[in-house]
Amino acid sequence: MKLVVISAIWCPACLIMGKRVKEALSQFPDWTFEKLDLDMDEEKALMWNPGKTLPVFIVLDDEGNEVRRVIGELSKDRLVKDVFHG
Amino acid sequence: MGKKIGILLFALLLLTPFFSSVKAEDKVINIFSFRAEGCLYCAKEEEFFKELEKTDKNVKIYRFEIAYDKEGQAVAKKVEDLLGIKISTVPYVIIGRQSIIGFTEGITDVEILDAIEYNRTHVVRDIVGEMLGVAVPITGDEDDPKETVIRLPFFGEVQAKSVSLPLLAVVIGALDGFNPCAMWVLLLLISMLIHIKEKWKMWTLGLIFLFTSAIMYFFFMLSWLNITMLFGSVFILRLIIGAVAVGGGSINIRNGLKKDDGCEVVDSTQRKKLRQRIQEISDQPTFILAIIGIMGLAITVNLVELLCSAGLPIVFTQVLALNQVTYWEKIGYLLIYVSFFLLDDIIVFVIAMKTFELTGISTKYAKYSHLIGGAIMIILGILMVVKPGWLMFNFS
Repeated sequence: MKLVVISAIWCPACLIMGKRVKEALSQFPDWTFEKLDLDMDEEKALMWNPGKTLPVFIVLDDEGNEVRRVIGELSKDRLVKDVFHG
Repeated sequence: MGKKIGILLFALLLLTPFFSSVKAEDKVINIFSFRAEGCLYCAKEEEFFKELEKTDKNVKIYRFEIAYDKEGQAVAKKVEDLLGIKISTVPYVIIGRQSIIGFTEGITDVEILDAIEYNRTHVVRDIVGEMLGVAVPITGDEDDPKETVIRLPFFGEVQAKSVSLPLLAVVIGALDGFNPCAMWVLLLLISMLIHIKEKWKMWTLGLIFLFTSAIMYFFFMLSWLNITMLFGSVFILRLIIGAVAVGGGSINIRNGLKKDDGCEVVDSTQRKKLRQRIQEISDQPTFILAIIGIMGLAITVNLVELLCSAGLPIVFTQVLALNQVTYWEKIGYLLIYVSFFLLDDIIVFVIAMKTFELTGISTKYAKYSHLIGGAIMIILGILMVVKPGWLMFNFS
C-alpha cells in the first residue's frame, strides 16, 4: 500500500499532521509514502485533484489505484483508523 | 399658659423634620445637555426634554450648543477637564455623575428618567452644577456611584468596567488572532526566511513584519474608533454595526461547525504572487531595502486580511466608543487587543526561529475561536441595539 499526502508549507494543519503521519508510518513499515507540496510539486499534486481543503491523504493499492481519500486535520487515532485501516 | 406653649414647641420640634425635609420628587435635578446645531438626534432629545419640563417641574435643563457657540464650547471644555471625559459625540447629557450619550427613543429617554430617579433617591454630588454655581455643594459622604461593582478574590470590590474592558480586549483580541487568514502569510514568510544564513537578519525581518502588522491593525482600529466616537451614538450606525456583528458571528459559527478540519486552499495566483514578493525581499542587495520590502508586504497583506476579520475589531471599537473612559485609556485597550491579536503569530514565529522548524497551531483552536468568537459577536451585536447600557457595564 502507498500513502500520498498533499500538503502546503503555509497550512498549519499540514504541519501538525506531518509529525502524526511520521509516527503512524512507523507502525506500518510495509507502506510506502509520498509527500507532495501544493506549491513546490504543483503539477504532480494537481493530478490528484486535491480540492479546497488541505491536507489530503490518498491511499493507493499495489497497482496504484486510489482506494480511499481522507481530508483535513485528524487525531492520531483517527489517522490510523481512517487512513491506514480504512 | 407656659405649659401649653411648651407642649406646642415640643410638637413643632417633632414635626420639624416633616416640614424641613424635601420630598424626593421635590429635589431639583440639574441636567446638563450638550448638543450641536443641525444634529437630528439632539432635536429628538430636545422634544423629550420639553415634555419632561412640562411633567416634572423640578428638573432644570441647562442647554449648551457646542458646534458654533463659543460659550457652549468653553463650558464643555471646563466639564471635560473637571470630569476627565471627552464630549466628542452629541447629544451628551450629564446628570449627577452619569453621562448619557446619544438619543434613541425608548432607550435613552428611559436611561435619563432612571438617572433622574437615582439622583433623587441617592446622595450624589452634582459636580458640574457646583462648578457652574447652580448647585449647592453637599456635605458628608456620597452614595456609591451608579456603577456595577463586582467582587474578585484578592482584589476585593472593583467596578465592572475596570475589569470588563481589559478582559474583553484580551478575549476578543486573542480570538481574532486565531483567525487563520493571516497565519498562512506568516508561515509562508517563515518558510522562506528560515533559509537565510545570518540568523539576526531572519529575526529582524520576521519581527519587523509582525511589528508592522501590529501597527497597521492598531491604526485601522484607532481610525474606526474615531469614526464611532463621532457617529457612534447615531442609532442607524449602531444598527448597521449590530447587523454586521450578528452576520459576521453567524458566518463564524458556520465555519466553526464545518466538518472538515483543515486549511482552506488559498487562490494559487495569490500564493504565487506572495512567494515571488517574499523571494524578491530576500534577494534585495541591501538589508535596508529588504526591511522596506517586508514593511510594504505587511501593510498590503494586512489590508487585504482585514476584510477577513473586520467583524471583531469593529465590534470591539464600538464597545469602547460606548464606554466613558478617557481617550488614552481607549488607546490602551486597543494596544491590549492588538498584543493578544498577535500572540499566536509571535509564538509560532519564535518557535520556528528557535527550532528552525515550522510549527502549526491546530485547526481545532481556530474552530473553537470561530464558535466562541461568533457567539460573542452575536451577543454584542444584539446588545448594541437592544441594551447598549450593558455594553457600558451598567447592569442596573
